[in-house]
Amino acid sequence: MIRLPLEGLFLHLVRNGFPLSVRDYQDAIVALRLGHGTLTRDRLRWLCETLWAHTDEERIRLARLFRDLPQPTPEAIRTMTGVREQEVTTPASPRETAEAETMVPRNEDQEEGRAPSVEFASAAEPGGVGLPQAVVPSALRQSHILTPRPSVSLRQMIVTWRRFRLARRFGPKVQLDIDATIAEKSRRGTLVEPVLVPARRNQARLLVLFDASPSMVPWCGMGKMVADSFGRSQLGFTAIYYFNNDPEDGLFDSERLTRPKLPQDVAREHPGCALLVVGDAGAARGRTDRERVRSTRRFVQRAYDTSWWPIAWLNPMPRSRWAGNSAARIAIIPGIAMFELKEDGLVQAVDHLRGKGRH
Amino acid sequence: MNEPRYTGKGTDFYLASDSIAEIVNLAIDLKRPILVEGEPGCGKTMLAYSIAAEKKLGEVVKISVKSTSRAQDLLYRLNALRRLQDAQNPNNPQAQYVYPYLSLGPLGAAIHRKKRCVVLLDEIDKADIDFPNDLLDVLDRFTYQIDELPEAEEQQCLKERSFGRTVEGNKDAPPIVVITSNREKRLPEPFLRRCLYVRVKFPESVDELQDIVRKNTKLSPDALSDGVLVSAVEAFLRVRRLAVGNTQKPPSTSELIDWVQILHWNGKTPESLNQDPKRPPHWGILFKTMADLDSYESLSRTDAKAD
Repeated sequence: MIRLPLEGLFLHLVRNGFPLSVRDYQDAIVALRLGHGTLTRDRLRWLCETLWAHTDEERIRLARLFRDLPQPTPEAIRTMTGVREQEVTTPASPRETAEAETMVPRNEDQEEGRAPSVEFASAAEPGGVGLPQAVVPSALRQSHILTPRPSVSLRQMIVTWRRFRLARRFGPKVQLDIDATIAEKSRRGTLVEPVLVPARRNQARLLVLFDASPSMVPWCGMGKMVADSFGRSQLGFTAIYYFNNDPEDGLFDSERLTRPKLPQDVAREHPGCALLVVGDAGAARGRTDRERVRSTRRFVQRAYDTSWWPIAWLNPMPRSRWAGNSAARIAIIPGIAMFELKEDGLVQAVDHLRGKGRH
Repeated sequence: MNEPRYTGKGTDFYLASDSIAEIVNLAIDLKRPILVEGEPGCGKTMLAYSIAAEKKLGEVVKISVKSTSRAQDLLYRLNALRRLQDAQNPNNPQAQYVYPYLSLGPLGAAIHRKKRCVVLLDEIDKADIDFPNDLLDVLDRFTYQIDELPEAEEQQCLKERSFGRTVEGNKDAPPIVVITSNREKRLPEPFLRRCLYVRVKFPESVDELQDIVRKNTKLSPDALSDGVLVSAVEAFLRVRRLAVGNTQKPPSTSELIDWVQILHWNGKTPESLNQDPKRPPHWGILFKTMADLDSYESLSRTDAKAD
């Protein structure tokens, strides 16, 4: 069986989570046929990078893969050059062997004392305290790019908010009302001026309460992201407040739980909003706190009274971790619909807010 | 492929590095759009003009994207209001038909022309987040549908306006699409995957910058001596090095070109340029905001003291 050029590399990348399609592969083959990225291994790497790697992280991973590729054996080159006669071009050509010699074989890198050692930072250092620090030798000679991957991406969030619509005609009259215009014309016989109506705008109101307590630290960036997403959401009205474990205890203006607001004031300022609560409801620590559940029940009652309704609750902990602690008890409070904080969960929560959950 | 390759060196106003030229050629061969990113003022837009000039493809179809841009408007527009007005007049039979009120947008016309050209979508990140995704299919297949045109009128529209309900571009030589972005917003993932990415870097070498200034100011070596130009470029690089990281927008090539022009008009000599290394004459025009001016002002003073 003849193996297609680059097939192994492509499949390897796909298995490693590169979001590539068959089309990307076909493009690479076409490019090879047209003479891009042939002759040397560096040029082949350039081609793969240009076509397949779209973020810095992917570029580094691809570079590593290329570095780790074994040198072609003479036998492999013979087979590949054999393929070359049948196909128009293949990535590996005889000249590549010369190039391949300059590449660093993998083993050398690994042997250069990779075992991490532990050092104590001296008190003279700015840190002050002698904390143990893992020292990884710089022999790796590569930078690590750590990309934060929130459980729901900003874009996904913006797109999901768009599901939350309550269109009403509002604002300046800018749209042509065709029916009314025709009716006007038939009534008067001639059209004096077209009848205009205000455009439909989204009047959905959303209030988000975000738990900023210590147990929510892993998701602390999320609150800012939610606030960012509001700016581009096209929702009629949005607001976000923070609370410490229990929304009944008080609401705050900032994620650092400074600038407290009286719940009555918040209720007066933002009447008639759908309410989305983001919090672990005790699932992160895994404790059952009866008082907290009771207090949350009181909060739900008060939210209902101030027409914050319906209520959806997004829990960043997976559903399996709700059992046996306060989260499970809060999830079954009448009026609260609790979902996991991930893409499906967010969509379900918004569906709940837009009326599927109204009782 | 009998078309000449793009080299990036063939015009008298733009210099592209070999790696950029290579990506441009790859994108042309694969019929994929080119996404250009880089600092403001380092020649993202000019790349499109240099491709058009070097490949002799005529005028660049430039589309300046606005926050209100919709993908469909780039393809075609239907002037319904005009039709409504015309329909008022019983003697005007034209209003029975839709096709006289259709007009092709800039991208739509470029595809319809069937002649290779360069389409520049300038600052795509200004538009709504759906805009790039809506364009994706069109930029992929260079074909679009005019749904508003009734089937009954298709033949007549073809006869009179030379397009029907489906407008197909030239499959072998579709428009070369260059898209620039300032990264104000993150572009959607599927769109990024479709584009070939070019990052235009600021050229740091004196020779290259000298070349760029010469090409853009159109000043001959007689008018602007090499001595002045070299000291100007060196002084500029000093300012830029100090400004990078400390100002919001460090000066870039477009500021350099303006600055050299002003130095030339004021008849500066190399000596006057080197008098105060951190603060060459007219350095103020290299910065675009009050805050940047202030921070450079204080920075250059404290630095001078430290020296």
